[in-house]
Amino acid sequence: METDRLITIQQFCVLHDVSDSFIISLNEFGLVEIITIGQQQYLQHDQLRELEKIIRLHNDLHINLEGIDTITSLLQRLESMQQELIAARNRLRLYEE
Amino acid sequence: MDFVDYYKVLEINKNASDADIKKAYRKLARKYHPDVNPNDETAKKKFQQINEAHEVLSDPENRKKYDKYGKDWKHADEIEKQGQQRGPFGGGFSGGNTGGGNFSEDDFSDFFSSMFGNRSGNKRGGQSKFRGQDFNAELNLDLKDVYTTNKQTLTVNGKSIRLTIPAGVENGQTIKIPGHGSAGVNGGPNGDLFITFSISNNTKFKRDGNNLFSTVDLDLYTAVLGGEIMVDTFDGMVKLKIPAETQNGTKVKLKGKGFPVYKKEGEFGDLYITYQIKVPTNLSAKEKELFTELSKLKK
Repeated sequence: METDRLITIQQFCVLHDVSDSFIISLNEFGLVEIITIGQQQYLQHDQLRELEKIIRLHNDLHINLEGIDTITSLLQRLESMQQELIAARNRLRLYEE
Repeated sequence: MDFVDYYKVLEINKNASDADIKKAYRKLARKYHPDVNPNDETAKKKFQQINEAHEVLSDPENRKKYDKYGKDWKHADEIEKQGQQRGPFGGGFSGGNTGGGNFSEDDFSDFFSSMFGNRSGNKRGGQSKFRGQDFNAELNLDLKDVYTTNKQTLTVNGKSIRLTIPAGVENGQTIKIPGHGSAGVNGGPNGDLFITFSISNNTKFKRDGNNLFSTVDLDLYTAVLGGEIMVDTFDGMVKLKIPAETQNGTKVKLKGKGFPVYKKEGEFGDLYITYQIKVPTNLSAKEKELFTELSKLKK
């Protein structure tokens, strides 16, 4: 696998001032996916947005991993409901026009 | 900017203890944190206010200054210096431009703008330094514009971005353009650009997902006797056979004549046509006579 779209866990941890063990815990909770290539562990660029959100929730609001897991699931549900709402509004326009 | 009462922001009394401040801050931060209120600008602003209020009130020195000077608390040192220079009978602080100081009151959320990744001088332990900030934009298009895949050039924060908009995009749909947000820090990836489409429909077709709906007028004679008519579809006219004795409100489906399916090239929804039978008006004497004759036949 190419490492263009990957960042090493060490690099990420230094830049975000978090510990390796925190990232590993997130992986154990299924909140992030760690990719191992040879001896090196990586995170995917695509995951950074979500991961940074998790770190902010953890640091700013002192939310533990169980809480973050719950919030993340609820936010996903919220997002899918927002999509449904958009679709329903578009459908409603059929009758309003 | 207007004076913000930090005590009101944190919903506490002026004599609140440090523990009360902390507790109130945590409670409100959980409620208004931008990550738990996605796409909510009001919550984001409120969160910035809460953070600023907490930053000031949780610092005993700043709180003292704030309690004493209110909105001018940032100028407290200068005011006190002036007071000392003027002696015990000197005038108070005018509240206007004191000159010399580089204070600015428009830096309302200086403390916490860094939380969203747009300030590199972050004192809070390296949050959000890696990836660039995301940008959000809205693009207004007409339904006709999104019937085919088209290329547009957008200017976002002074940069021109060439964008391919896939056919079939929905009203209210948001697409992500990876890497077109602000630049990453320390060699990190750029943020993303999120574009929300606002699609207006000025056509005679109504759209529901990939399907289109329209109403077609049908003259009484064709409805009764059957025939052929030309109807408009989104990509041109088509000939339709009308069976004899077609009823008012009859719906027909034209398969594949609807709207393109998003990101599925060559796939289309259906077009549903509803016939609306028009009863003739301004009948001539001859026509009336014939209709009368017809009605007698039916009795």
